[in-house]
Amino acid sequence: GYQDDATRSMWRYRDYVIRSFNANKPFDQFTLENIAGDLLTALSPEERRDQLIGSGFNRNHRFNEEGGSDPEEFRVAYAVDRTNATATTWLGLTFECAQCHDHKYDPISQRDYYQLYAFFNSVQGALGVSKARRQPPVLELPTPKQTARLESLKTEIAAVNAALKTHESESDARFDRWTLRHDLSADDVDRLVALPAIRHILKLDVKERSNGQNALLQFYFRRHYDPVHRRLTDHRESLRTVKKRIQGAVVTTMIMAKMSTRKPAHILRRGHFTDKGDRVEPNVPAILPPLATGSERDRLALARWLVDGKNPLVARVAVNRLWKQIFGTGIVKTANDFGTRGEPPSHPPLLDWLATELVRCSWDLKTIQRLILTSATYRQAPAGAELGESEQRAVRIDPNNRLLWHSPRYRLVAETIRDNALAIAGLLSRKFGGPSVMPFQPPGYFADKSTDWDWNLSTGNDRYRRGVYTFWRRTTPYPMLTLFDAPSREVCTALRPRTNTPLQALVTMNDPVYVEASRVFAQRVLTAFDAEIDKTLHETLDRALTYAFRTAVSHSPNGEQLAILRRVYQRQLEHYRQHRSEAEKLTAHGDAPQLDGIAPPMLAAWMCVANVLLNMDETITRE
Amino acid sequence: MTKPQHVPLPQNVDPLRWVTRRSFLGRTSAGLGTIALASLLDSSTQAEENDSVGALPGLHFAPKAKRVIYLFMSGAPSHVDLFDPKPELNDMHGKPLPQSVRGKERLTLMTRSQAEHLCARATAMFSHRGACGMELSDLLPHIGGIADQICLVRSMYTEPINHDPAVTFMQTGSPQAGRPCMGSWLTYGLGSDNADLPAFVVLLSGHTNQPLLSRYWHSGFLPSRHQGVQFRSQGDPVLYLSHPNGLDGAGRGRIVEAVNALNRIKSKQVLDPEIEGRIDSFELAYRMQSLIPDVLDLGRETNATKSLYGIDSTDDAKKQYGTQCLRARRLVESGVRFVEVNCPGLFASNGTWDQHGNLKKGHERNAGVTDQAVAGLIKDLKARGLFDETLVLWAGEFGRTPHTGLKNLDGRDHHPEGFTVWMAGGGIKGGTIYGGTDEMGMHAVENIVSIHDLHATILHLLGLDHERLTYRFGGRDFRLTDVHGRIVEEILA
Repeated sequence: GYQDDATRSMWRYRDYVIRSFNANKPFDQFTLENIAGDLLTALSPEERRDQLIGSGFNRNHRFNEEGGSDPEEFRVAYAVDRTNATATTWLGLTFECAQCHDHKYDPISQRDYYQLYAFFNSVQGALGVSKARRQPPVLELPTPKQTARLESLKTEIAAVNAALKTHESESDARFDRWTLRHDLSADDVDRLVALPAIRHILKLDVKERSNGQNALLQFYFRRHYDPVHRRLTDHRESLRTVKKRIQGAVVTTMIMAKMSTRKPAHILRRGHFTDKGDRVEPNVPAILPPLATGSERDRLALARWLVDGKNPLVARVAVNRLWKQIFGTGIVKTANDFGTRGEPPSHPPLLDWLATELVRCSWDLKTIQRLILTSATYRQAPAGAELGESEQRAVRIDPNNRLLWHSPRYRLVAETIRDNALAIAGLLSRKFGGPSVMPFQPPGYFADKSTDWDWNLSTGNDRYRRGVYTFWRRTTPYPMLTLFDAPSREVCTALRPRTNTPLQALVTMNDPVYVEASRVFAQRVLTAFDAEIDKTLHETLDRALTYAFRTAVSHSPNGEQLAILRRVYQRQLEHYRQHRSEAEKLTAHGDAPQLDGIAPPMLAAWMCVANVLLNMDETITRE
Repeated sequence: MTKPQHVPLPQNVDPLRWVTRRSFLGRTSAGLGTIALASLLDSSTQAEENDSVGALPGLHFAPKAKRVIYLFMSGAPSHVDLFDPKPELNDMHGKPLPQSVRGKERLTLMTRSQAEHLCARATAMFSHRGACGMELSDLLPHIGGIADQICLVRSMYTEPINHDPAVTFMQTGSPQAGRPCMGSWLTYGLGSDNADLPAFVVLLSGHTNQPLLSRYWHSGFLPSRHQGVQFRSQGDPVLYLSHPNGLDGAGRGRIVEAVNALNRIKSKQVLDPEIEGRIDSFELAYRMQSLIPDVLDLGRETNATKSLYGIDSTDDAKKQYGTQCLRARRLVESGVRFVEVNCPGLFASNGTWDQHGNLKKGHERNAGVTDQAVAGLIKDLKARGLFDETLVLWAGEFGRTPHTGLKNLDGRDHHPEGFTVWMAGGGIKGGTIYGGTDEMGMHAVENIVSIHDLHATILHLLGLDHERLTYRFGGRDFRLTDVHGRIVEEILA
C-alpha cells in the first residue's frame, strides 16, 4: 500500500465476507468473527477456520516495505488503521480526529482514542516493515488434494529417513574400513580422490583428524562410495523439493493472533509514535455504555460490547448502511459520521425502529432487507419530469428527495457498472470466489508508475468475472473502477462520492472491455433473430432493436427511441457496407467466440447499436 | 486536423472571473473561467457537493499567476550538490560529522546503525551565474543560464523521512494518505480555463524506479473531478481516448448523438438533473478525443523550439523529458490550470535522484537529463509572454544528507531537515536566494520555510487565501495548509 509492495493474498477473507452475507450470518456473529475471531472458541474445524479468516478484517491495512523505514512508526500506523476502521464500520464515528488531539466536535477525547487503540496494539507477528509475500500471522488453507499430498509426502520422507538410518548403521563399518584403507599411501590417495580438501584429511593420521574433518570425510564417502546412501538422500531431496513447492502454493490469508503478554499502550502526543504520553488500558469511549466487567479487556470483550444490543450506534450504523445500498443515500446521509457534524437523520423514528428491529430479530440482516424492499417507499416510481402541483411543491420543499417522495435515481457503483454491461452482453461469469482475476487493463499501465509490477491478463471466463473479484493494487488500482469513484482501499471508506465525468464516458465508449461487450451483445441479438434481419424488413429490425433495448433496460422502447436506434443502425450499416475492412476490424475486437455466418458490416452496425445501449444513462442508472 | 494554435483558448473572457459553477470534470457546459465552488451549487447537483462550505464570491487577491507547472523531482535531489554550496563541508570531506552540527537529525534505518557519519563534499563545483551572481552547481549549466529568473529557497524543511510520506506531504500538506493534493485544491478553487481540457494534468514520463502512486494526484475528499488526470507516456495519453479500431470519428459522432438523443428523451420522462450532466459529459468526451491529441502533438513546433528543450538529443531520456516539458507548455497555453511533470526513471540502482550510492554518476545523469528541458521551458514561456502568468515550481520531496550514507563517500541518505526548492515566473522575484542552511548544509536555520508555507505562498500567487480556501468534510473545514502556513512575502515580486 505504500510503495512497491509484494502481492499478498486476502481473497479468502473476501470470499468469507461474501459467503457470510449470502448465508445471512447474523451480524453479531459476523462482528465477533471480524473483531476477535481468533479469540473465539469453535465447535468444529470449519467454524474455527471461518473465525480465523474473519479475524483478517484487522489485517487489511496497508503495509510499508520501504527500506529504511522505522518499524515502530508503521506498527503504530497499523494499530491506528485498525482503530479507525473499527470505529468507522461499527460506530460510524470520525474517531480518527482524536488521534492527535481531543475531537473538536464530538465528545471523544484523545484518551478515548488510545484506549480503543489499546485493543489493537498487541498483535503477534505484524512487524512494522518487512518484505514478504506472507505477512505473519497467516492461516494456511491447503486444498484437500494439497493436504493429502503433503501427508503422503510426510510419510514418504519418514520412510526414507528410516531406511537411511538402517543403512547408515550398516555402512558405518564400511566407512571405517574405507578411511583405514586410504591410510596406505599418499600417491594412492592422490590417484583415487579428486577433492584436495578430502585428500588432505585422508593424508592425516586418523588420530589427528578433528570431528569436523571426520564428518566431512563421512559425507564424502557417502556421496561417492555409498551408492545406496546417495540414492536415498537424492530421493529425500526431491521429495522435499516437491513438499516445498506444494507448501509455497498453499493459499494463505492474514489473520489476527494476540501476544502472550499485552503490549503497553500510551497516548501518543499529536499522534506521533515517538512522543509517548500517559499509559492507557483498553477501554471503550466514555460517552458510550461501559464495557462489561469481569472479563479480560481484549478484542473479544470489545466485540461483545459492540453487539450486546445496548450500544446506541452499532445497529443504527448497520441498518443505515443497508438503507444506503438500497436507496443510494442513507437515512443519515453522512454514513461515515453519526457525530455532531454529521447530517441529522431524515427519518429519525424510522432509523430507530429499523435498528431496534435488527437487534430484536437477532441481527438478521436479510429480514431487515426484506422489510425495506417490500415497503411502499421502495416500490415507488421515479418522479416524472412533468410536475403536477403537488410535485412542484415537493420539489420546492425537498429538492434533493431526502424525504423519498419518489424513487431515487442514482448511478450504479463502479463494480456494478462493469457487471451490468457484461451481463447485458451475456458475458458475465457468475463463478463464486477464488483468487482475484486480472481482466483487461491497458498494456503498460503499471510500468509508467513503477518497475516490476506485472499484470498477468487472466484467460477465458476469468476476464468476465464480477468487478468485486478484480485484483487490487492499492497504489495503482484498476483504472476503470477508479474512474467510477471506487475508493483506493487504502483506508476504510464508508461513503463513496458519485461523480459524472467525461473520463467515464471514454470508458464506456472505448474501453476494450466495453467494445468486446458490444460485440457479444450484438451477437446475442443476432442469434435471437437469426439472419432474418438481413432482409432489413422494418418489422423484424424493430423487433430486434426492441429486444436489444429491453435486454439493456428491462422495458420496451417507445417509437421515438426506436427511431433513434433504427437510424444509427442503418447509417452505420451503410457505412460498413462501403468500408468492409473497417467492419472487419471492429468486429475482430475481443477474445470471446465469434458468431459464424454473419456478415461483418451487419455485425459492426449492431455493435454500434449495442454500444449506444450500453452507454445510455438509463443503463448505468438505478431507478 | 485542427491546428494546435486553434485550440479554443480563452478569449474575451477573463479566465479568473467567476462565470459559472460548471467546471471541466463536472458538468461542463459553459465552461470557461469556472470557479468551482461547491457551496454555490444549487440543489440539482451531486449530493456530496452540497456538503461544502467555503464559498468564495471570487478570488481573494489579485492573482500574480494563472497557472502552475510543477516539475516534480521524485527521489529527492541533493541540495548540497546542486543549489547550496558549502565550502566548510568540502573542507571536512571524509571526516566524521561533528555532533554539534548533526543535532537532532533523524536517520533512516539504512544509516542509523553506523557509528559515525562521514562528511562528503559536493560532487561538482559551483559557479556564480547570471547578473544576480547566484551560486549554482556546474551540474546545472542551463538552469544557471536562467539564474536571474529563479528564486532559490534554501531553507526548506519537511517532516517525513521516507519517500512515500514525504511525497504525500509535499503533494497534500499531510504525510497521511487521503488529503487532496495541491493541484486538486487549486482547481477546486479556480476551476478550468478551458472547458474542453482537464484543469489538472499529470504528465508521466514512462518507466520509473521510484513509485508514483495514483493518490499523489488524488482529490481526496474534494469532488473527484478535481483529480489530476494522468497523461501517460505510452498508449493513449488519457485512458480510452482513442476510438476502437474500426470505428471512425464520424461513427463515434453518430453513436454519441444517439446516446444523447436517448438521454434527452429520458430527461423529459423523469425528474433527474443528472441526465443533463451525462449529456454534457459525452459531448465533452467526444471533443476531448480530437482536442487532446492536438494539444500534445509537437508537430507544429519549430525545430528551434524543440532543440531549446533538448528534444533533438540522441539521448532517449533527455528527449522524453524535453517532450514532456514542451507538452507542459502547450497544456498551460491551452488553459490547463495545473501541470505536474514527472521525471523518467534515469538511474538504475535507485530511483530518480535517490542516490544512496553512485551519487556522482547518478546526479550527473539526472541533472544532465533534466537541466536543459527545464531551462528551455522557462525561456520558452518567456518568449511567448506566458512566463509572467505561469508559476514554475522545481522541487523534490526532501534533500539529501551532507554526510554520506555509505562508507565510500559516494552516496547520501534522505534529509528532511534542510533542502532547496526553486520557483520562477508569475509573482516571483527572480534572481533571489531566500533562507539558508547552517555551514554544513545540515539544518535550515535562516528564514525557515515549511511545506505549508510553500503551499500558502503558491495559493497566494494564484489569488487564493490559504486560510479561506476550505472544504467541509467529516464535520470540519479542511485546508491545504491545515492550521499552518505563512506566505513568504519576501520572495514575491
